[in-house]
Amino acid sequence: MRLPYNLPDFFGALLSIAIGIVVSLEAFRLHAYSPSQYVGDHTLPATLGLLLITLGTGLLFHSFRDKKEERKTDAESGFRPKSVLPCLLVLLLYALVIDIVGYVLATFLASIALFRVIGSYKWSRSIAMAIVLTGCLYAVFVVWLKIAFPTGFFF
Amino acid sequence: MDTLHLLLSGFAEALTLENVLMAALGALVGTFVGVLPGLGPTSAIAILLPVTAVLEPTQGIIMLAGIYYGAMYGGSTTAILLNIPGELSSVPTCLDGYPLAKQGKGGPALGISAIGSFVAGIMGVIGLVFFAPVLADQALKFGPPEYLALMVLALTLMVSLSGGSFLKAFIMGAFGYALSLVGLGPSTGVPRFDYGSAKLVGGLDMISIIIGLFAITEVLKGIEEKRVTTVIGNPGSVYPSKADLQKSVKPMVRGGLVGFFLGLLPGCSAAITSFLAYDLEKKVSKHPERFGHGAMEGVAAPEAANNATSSAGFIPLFSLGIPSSPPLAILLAGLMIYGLTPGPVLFEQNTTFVWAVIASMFVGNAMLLVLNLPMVWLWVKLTRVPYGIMAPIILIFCTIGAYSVRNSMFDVFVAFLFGGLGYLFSTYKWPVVPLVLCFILGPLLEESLIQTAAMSAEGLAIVLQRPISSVILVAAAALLIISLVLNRRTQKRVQEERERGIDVS
Repeated sequence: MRLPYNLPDFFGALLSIAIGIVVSLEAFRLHAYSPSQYVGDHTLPATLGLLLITLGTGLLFHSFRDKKEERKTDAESGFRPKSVLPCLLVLLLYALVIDIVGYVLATFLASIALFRVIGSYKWSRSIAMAIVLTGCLYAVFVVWLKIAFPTGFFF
Repeated sequence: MDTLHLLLSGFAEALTLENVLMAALGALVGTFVGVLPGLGPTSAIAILLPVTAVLEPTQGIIMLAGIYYGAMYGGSTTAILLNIPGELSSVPTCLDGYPLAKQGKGGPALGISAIGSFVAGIMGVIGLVFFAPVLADQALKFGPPEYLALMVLALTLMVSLSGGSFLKAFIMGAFGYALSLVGLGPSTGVPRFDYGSAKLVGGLDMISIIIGLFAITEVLKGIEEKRVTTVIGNPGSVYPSKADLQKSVKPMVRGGLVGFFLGLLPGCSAAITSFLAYDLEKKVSKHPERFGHGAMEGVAAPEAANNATSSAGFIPLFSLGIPSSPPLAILLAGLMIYGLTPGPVLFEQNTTFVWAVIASMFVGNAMLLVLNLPMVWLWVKLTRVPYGIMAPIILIFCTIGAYSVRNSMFDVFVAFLFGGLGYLFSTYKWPVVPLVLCFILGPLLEESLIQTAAMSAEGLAIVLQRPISSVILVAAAALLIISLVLNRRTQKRVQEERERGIDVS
């Protein structure tokens, strides 16, 4: 079998069809609660499910068409996960530990990690900048704007 | 007279000392974030939007207006001084703005750009003053079929927001609508797409999605591109000379008119009008050969058109609830935080507040001229802060922003998830604006769809039988054709400029 020329679009199309199926299944489930056959909370999900499957199928066929321009742009804009994954990982950990250790400590630790990961600064400089950043944010958002952040075990 | 009276009362509300300070702060912060390389006006507004959410409504909206104009102006600054257009609409500004900056005339070019913005902003307010009473009269005639027709009209925007592939734009739009369905169903109250999770019953928060798709994505792209600090040379005095002003008056008016009248059409983006204004100016000029080599008219016309379109965009935004550009889509989300739902009944239901908003747009714009412009040197200095410091600050800021809207860690996770998704979308050229637009309009579409279908035994055919809704549908068809033609032209021009070396992301 011939491989699609535009692999990202091919996977995007498959994902669109999969989402369309999920949305359609939900529409089917909601149909049972609706007092009317055609009008209710299931109407838009059913329409969207069908639309996503149709458009996804269209893109699926489209991804097999050879377009030199598209290939050129895709080669230029390749996915380089190595550079952004560490940053996303830090953010995910940050969101996970906020509830446990509290906003202040979590922000301080996340800032150190982000200064290290993004700016490649030395530990001492990262810690110093993290102290300044956490302190400023605390003054603005907690003291001045009085936003209630998770306190966790420590603060 | 009533309208004028309402506008004046709006000014009275907007011009208290606290509110003026908020406008000033918004304009300053908006410009700073807008000036950061790689962060266009849309991302700048997305990053700063949650900050306004913690203020009381009038102050929040006024600060938002300052941020909007500041961020738009920040985008023009990078286009003129760095040859980096934050958005497509700033590409024509680069063509002559950057050569002017290289000749040491970056300051006057920025001055002309700010004056053009101010003039265009006034045109927008005047337009609103004339249109508002007409719209308020029509508001009561709008029922579910008319709203449904409006939602169809909004779909014509997909053409201008598609970024090249209509199929991908429509898939993203459908995905946006699907995301808006998460939560309680409007007619039965049954939870949808919750899969047993109590967090999902409350639905997905619009601000978290916007922060993820625009702000976090931009930072991730910056990390990938290994952005470093940017060194901008001294732009010189920002006050244009008398000769520069004389040269720019006519192009400014022409550009403003092109931008304003085309900007009234939903689906006609600022990118279209700024290119049209630039090309028009080149055509009417006695020395077209100067264009591309530092002609002040080449900055004045597209900047006036760009800003006039942005200002005129407030008219379809307020009257029909349809944002015609990405920054306006984010602004719409900002207005909705305060319970304002732009659309035909806006002027009926929120008279005082809406006029305060309109007046605050004017104040935000004026702030730019009197306060922001003389401080260009400060922006130039601030952009020297290394990206390795700016990026973590922005990311932590995004976290706080996503959290502060509903005090929910779930929203923070949603923001990070959409940040990652936005990075993938951007890498593989899937346009995110249709997703955001459809997510915002989703609840209104569903409500009008259900109510329209329930109104008549003939189902949705009622939309074609009522005069206002059928006129809107005919207008939607006409706009679709116009948008297709104009967008094809704009894409051709962008391609030409890309081949000439302009960095259009």
